Amino acid sequence: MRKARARKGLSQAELAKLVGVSRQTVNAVERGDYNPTINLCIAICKQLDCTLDQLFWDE
Amino acid sequence: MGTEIGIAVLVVTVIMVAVVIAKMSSKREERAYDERQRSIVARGFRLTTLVLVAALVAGAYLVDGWTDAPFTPGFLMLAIMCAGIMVDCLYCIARGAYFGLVEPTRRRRTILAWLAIGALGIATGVASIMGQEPGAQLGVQNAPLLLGIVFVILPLAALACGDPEARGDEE
Repeated sequence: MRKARARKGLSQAELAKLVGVSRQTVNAVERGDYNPTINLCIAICKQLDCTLDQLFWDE
Repeated sequence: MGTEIGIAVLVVTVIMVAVVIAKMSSKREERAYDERQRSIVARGFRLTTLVLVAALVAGAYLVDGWTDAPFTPGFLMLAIMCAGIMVDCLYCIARGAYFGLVEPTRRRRTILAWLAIGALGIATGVASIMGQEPGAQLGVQNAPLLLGIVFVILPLAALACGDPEARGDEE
């Protein structure tokens, strides 16, 4: 997710504002400290132009 | 009579503060909790409930068994209430989910305001204790002391925890 965000040129704070959460929450998701709800996952995917699999599925 | 007036003033003050906070919260949309913060608040409520149950049971035994306690049962109930508030708020502050004290744009101002209110409460409470007869029990009229302690500890905890929005790496 961090790489996808960097590709879009967004900071954590900018992504957080776009998906309606705090920067701390985006940071926690990226670090794997917080499991987001499916609604937040979808919102993040839409903003980063990725699928759920690409962002949240570990092979 | 003084006690009844004190309780009435306390209740009215608490209601006024609650109304003001509710109005401020509804006007400031950006202060809404996000899903992670709501889950923290929920865990805080659960922890607080457990602590309050344990404290109330212990308090009930204490009141029954300690006949010459230096405080009245009313003061003990207020102390337990303050302990509950502190457990809940400290848990949320430590995890960065307590707005007002952690919101970046208002953090410093709010912390200073809380410290000022707390210092005032402690000063009022100490003055009321010094005005009592020697050996008199602490009662509900000494509530400002307890609330003052709460209002001082919470902002100090927020200061100690730092700005939550600055925590973690930003790339």
